[in-house]
Amino acid sequence: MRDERAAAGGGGLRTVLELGGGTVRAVDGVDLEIGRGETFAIVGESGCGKSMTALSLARLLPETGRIAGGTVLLDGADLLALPEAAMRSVRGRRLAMIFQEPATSLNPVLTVGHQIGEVLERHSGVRGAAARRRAAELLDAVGIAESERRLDEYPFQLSGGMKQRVMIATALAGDPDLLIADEPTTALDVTIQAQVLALLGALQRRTGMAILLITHDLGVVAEVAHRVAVMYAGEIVEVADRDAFFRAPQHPYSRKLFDALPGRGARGGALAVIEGQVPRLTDRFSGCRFAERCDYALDRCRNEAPGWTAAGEGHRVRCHLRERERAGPREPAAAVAAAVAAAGAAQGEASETLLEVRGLEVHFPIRRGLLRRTIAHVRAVDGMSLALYAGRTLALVGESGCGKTTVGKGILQLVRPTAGSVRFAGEELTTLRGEALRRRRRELQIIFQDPYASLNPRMRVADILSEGMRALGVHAARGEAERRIDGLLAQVGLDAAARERYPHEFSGGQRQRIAIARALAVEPRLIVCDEPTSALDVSVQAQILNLLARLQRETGVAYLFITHNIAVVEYLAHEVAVMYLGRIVEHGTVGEVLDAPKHPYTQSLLSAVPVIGGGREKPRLVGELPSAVTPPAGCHFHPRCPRAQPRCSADAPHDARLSPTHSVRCFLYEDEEGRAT
Amino acid sequence: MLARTLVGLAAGLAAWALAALVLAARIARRRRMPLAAAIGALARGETAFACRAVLVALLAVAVVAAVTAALAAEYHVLGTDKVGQDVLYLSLKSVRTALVIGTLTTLIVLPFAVLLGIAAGYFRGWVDDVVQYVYTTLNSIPAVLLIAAAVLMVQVYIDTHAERFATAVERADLRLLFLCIILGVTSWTGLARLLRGETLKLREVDYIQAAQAFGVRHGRIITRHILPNVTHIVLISVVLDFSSLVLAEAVLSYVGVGVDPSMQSFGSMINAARLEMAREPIVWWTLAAAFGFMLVLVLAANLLADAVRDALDPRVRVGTAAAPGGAR
Repeated sequence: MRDERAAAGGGGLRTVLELGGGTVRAVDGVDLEIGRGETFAIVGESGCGKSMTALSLARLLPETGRIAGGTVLLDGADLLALPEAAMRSVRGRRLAMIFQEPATSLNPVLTVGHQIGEVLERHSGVRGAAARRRAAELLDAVGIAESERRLDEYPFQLSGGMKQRVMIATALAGDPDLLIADEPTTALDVTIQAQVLALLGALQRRTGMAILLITHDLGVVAEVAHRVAVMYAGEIVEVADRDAFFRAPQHPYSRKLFDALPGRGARGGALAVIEGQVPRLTDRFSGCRFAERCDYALDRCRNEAPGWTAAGEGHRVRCHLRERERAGPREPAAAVAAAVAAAGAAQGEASETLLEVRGLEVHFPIRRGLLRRTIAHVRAVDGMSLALYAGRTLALVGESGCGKTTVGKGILQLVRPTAGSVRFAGEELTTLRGEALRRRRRELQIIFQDPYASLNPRMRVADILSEGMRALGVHAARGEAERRIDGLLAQVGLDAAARERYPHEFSGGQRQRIAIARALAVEPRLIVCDEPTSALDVSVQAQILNLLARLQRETGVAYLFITHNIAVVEYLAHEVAVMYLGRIVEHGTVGEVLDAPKHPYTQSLLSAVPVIGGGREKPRLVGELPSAVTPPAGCHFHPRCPRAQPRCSADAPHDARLSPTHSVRCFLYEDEEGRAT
Repeated sequence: MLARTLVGLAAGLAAWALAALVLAARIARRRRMPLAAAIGALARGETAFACRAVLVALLAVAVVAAVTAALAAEYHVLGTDKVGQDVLYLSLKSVRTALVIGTLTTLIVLPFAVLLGIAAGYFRGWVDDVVQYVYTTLNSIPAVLLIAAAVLMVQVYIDTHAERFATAVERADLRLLFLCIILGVTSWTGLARLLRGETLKLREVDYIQAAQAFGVRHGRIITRHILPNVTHIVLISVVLDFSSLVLAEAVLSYVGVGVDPSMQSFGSMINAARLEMAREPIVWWTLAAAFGFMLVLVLAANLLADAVRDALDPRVRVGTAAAPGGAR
């Protein structure tokens, strides 16, 4: 029905990959249509064929892949019928792509101007001074200041957000009809993500190009998409306009994706999880692909593949269940939230102080020259203080590069702090050495972000789990250690047979469970969780968060939860500390900080988070995190602050207490302190 | 000659058939099946281990070796050199010398390279400075000069203390040993540098950090976490070094600072063959024999290293490739 304005589309597209294990049908009969000036989003878990769909449209499949059938139309021309030579002029000019990782999409040894110029020369034939002028215009268009100077810079001189802007500029160089954006903001911070998404929207309004957005983040979809397709196991299971989709998602899988999202509404309860995994795409399917994991599956679902059912105008769903059986609109989370918030408040006041950090500083020297003299310091952590109570969760949030991870390592003494004190259960850790520190190690553990890097690929799971126990002499008796390993595996929901296997045999979520079991093995009182779910899919993230919440209830362990995901903070944390360039700018309970943020940075950070059901105009944070080598004088935030005053650039503000639990480091509130006390 | 060839062929085939039969019998016993069925399974390649490939390779080796042995009793299979020595015999003795030099030098290189390289990367600080200083200095000295100086010094010692050596063989062995030592001392730097870099990278990896958070001792982190994850580098580099050592020996002996002139080696063979090349008609077989044997030796070492590396990698051993990480 949108044919008259369809810019691009694929019909019955099938892509197969020939791998050692068999033929993977990565894309299996996908139909989609993208209108001019429309943003069409494909969402789904990893391994569902989202990226393969995009690569198939551009005919950029890996060596092992080929398109087995279907059509790809761009303005009525079938791209699959074109020879490769003709395809090369289509790519870049009429169809452009941007990828997830801006760092690897640019050639590090060529200047930005050179790389944009190359595209311009290829597609519009301009060269020399004219090409340079056009390149500068493009950089202006993507909001890069001082574009003339930037043209002569190399990619390493640009920040991540800036590189992604350059990638967008390169993509725009050919003035494409269709822009394929494959997770364009996944590697970026929320503040930069908001800038990039706003930029894409503005460019689309100006040029009328169609955007195919591939993402796993429903928040991003809610923010920018016009239409949404949910992809599962190689096929699209639901297509709808954005509003209809977010009002009432119809497919059980779509609903599960929503239920698995952490957030305030789910606080105190367990998140919905999707049992099992995405089926292997080497198998042939006889029925609905989601039937194995579906709560509503009927016998018919297993035997007969469902066709499309209309569920409203422009809203189609691949499901056998009739509309009323698929239940009504999602229930509003607010009522639940209120009930849970009340329960949370009653959940016991702050108990014993477990960890107290005062004036922590971690500076890394930068050495240059023949004699390796120190010429400057990276002030990764620059005088930060926080307190954590036994059995509670403190979330540490902030943009990447603000020093969150270094704080975690500084507390564990994996990186020795330059100055300041870390008191754990009354004992100063920074001065501990050797055996005394080793005894304390038992009580502090860490879980890392990347489950693929955190387990030694050459050790069996049993050896990984027993390593800490052996090093610290916990459960040293032979039989006892064996029993403990079985107990740990059961505790994190893994089969006892896992103990004899190697890490690469497990999925990302399972590996993260092993990493959690490893930390639990020595019965710690505090676990530093360094973005433990940010590398995982929504449904797996829900499993891990449920596990962490249950373990806290069962063992009373305290978490220092380092993250940039505000929804996770809302779900799990009791208190929040917001960090900016090595310092805490706001600290308080979840309610205080997230509902009524005081510091201008917290306000901007929260407003940048894409919200489902949002859509209001927000104050955007401009600029990027300054370098930690030469932090701005005074308040670190003043160059980006919308409410900066002259004194902000001269003096650093002190903590202002707004309530017993809430403190803010900003001049705006220093006067209020007097009134409050 | 034909008769001898046939006798050799028969002996080779018989030896091979015996080996194949023993293998089939073992398979039959393990799987509890009749011998004929086991032979059938072997022929169709239906065994867990690639027994058929081993047998095919064994067949080739057995036939060639047996035929050569049968002929060698009467004939000079690869001809003779200018003083009438049998080239096949010289080549076999040269293989022995090459193996001794390759293995002994590798044994000297390994502790230096592994210990110093990993220590420099893991501990950093002054340890790193010292190790880097040592290998940078060592690398800047021309290795051939150093080797020549050391070997000549040993030669001078041998000549002045002739009474301490009962035979010429003892003298040659001492010179060989010192050649290995000096080669080892000059050639550990490359591997150490590689290992230092890899360790620098590994020590920041999350699982090492996790081990440090458990208070695992440095020695144990190095042996349990770092060493297994750098073995592939050690293996590849050791085999490449082995090959280059065999070749280096040939060059050094050629210029006269290698093994003792009385000791058969590829270097001395090539050196001797050099003069023969100018004759008319050309005497090519000495050089060809040295070339062929060196090629087979180095190739075999390379193939072995590949197999060993795969055998040590759990990802390959289990046979299922890990899902590519971070595909988000």
